[in-house]
Amino acid sequence: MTIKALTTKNLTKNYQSRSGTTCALNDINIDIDDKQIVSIMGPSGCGKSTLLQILGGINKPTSGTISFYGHEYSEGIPNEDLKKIGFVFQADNLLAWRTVKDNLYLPLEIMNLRGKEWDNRIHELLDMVGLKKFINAYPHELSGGMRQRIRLIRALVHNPNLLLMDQPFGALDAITRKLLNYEFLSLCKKTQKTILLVTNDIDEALLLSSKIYIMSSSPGKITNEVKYDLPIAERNRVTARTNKYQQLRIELKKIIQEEMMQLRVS
Amino acid sequence: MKARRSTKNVLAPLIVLVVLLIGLELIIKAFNISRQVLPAPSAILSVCAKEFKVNIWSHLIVTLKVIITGFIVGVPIGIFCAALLSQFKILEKAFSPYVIMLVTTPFIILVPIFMLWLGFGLNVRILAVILQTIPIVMLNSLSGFNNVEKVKLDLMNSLGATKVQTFIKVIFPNALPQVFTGIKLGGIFSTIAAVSAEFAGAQTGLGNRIMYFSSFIETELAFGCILIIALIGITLFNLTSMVERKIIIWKK
Ligand SMILES: Nc1ncnc2c1ncn2[C@@H]1O[C@H](COP(=O)(O)OP(=O)(O)OP(=O)(O)O)[C@@H](O)[C@H]1O
Ligand SMILES: [Mg+2]
Repeated sequence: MTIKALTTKNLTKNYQSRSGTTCALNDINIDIDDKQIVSIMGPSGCGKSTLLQILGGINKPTSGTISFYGHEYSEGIPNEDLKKIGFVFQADNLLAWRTVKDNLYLPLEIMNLRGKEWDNRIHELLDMVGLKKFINAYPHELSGGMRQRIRLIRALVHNPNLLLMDQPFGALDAITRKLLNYEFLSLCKKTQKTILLVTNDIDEALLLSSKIYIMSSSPGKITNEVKYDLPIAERNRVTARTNKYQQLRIELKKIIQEEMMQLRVS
Repeated sequence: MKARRSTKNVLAPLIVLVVLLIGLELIIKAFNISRQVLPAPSAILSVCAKEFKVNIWSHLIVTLKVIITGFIVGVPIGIFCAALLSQFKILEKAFSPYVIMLVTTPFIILVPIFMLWLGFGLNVRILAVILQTIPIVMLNSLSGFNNVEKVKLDLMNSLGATKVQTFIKVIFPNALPQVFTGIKLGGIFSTIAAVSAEFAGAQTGLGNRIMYFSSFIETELAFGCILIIALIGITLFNLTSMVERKIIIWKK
């Protein structure tokens, strides 16, 4: 059996606040193979960001363990291994005082990666998302979709193995979102990363991922899992028209609707 | 477009000034106000121009030296202290009440005490300027350093950045607008502190000259000195704004 890229064992997170303890995550067990793309869906506030933050070294778990390419950690992933992870945030956090180019250099500066190869990588990535012209622009001079693309490739500049993405296309209009989905699909084919994607869009999840976890809230836990084993190389704009896709789409919709019913009951 | 806006920025206040001066001149002439109460702008201008070399110039230099030295020493200390306080919460808790106390204390009341310790030289005045500049720079910088969006800090944590890297690459540049507000206010506080210290006890400087000229009913010269002090404050403020616009080019 090959080594998993990422697995979590009984990962739990409690937040302490004035109003008491919130159990944001309860016994989360997920696993991701190397080069696999996995999505997480769930209602707002169910702990999706919290989970990604723990996996991305931003937050520490209350209990449970994470294994990352065979190394097991109980205190969160250490800085050395964070170099193998790229994080795309839910909120726009490009640094306003840095140009596109300097924003892309930030991860390299922090991780002390220097040299021609890295300069070339930045140019390649910019080329891939068609924003080479904007290399010296400031973030406020870009459109929302452009900033989104830059934030996406910023997570890739240090060539990580694992990409954690927190609703990366969430703030965009439907058309731009679809466009970026297809763009991202071809980027995935080229770069072949392991990806954990949080999304609230069924089609986005189905287009990109081979496994979809469904979460429910208070406390946040995994309630369902849907698999779609079409290889990423065989996915394209017409995938959505296949029977298998439509069948899974209906199944997912049903699961999510049932969950919403339960939300209303409780 | 940009050039036109900046000429507008200069021209508009200048026109206000000219209108004000002419108005003042006319009122003083019309109501026959005595020069001991309020000298006419034209008189202030002509007397000061005549006496500038002998009676004002050397004092202007002294005051400028005090302001600039105090400002240049006080500003970096203020920013540095704010940086320390922002990164060590325990320090912030311990010191922030005293920083606010320092901001609200008018140093003129402490100058006589300083003089007992340090004598009557320039050092006392420079010290007063430094002590008045540090806390206002500190207070503004601190509020900048403490107001970073969490998502930007999250970014640095996700990259495994050290505390120092996070401060240099995110917290500091992110706070630059507030830091500059602090520096601009620092310039004003420096000017006020220097002149106050000269009032409290000094043989030189523009503050001292105002008292000196007033006691000889040289109202034109006294008012002239007041205007020069105002001009110093404005110049310092505008110079800082200019540097600010050069540095903070991402805000528009
Ligand atoms: N720093 C914090 N302190 C206390 N509670 C928190 C904190 N961050 C999140 N929570 C709580 O944890 C729960 C999960 O939050 P989280 O941000 O992970 O949700 P989410 O699934 O990402 O939601 P959304 O889809 O709206 O982004 C929520 O109930 C939230 O109130
Ligand atoms: Mg979230």
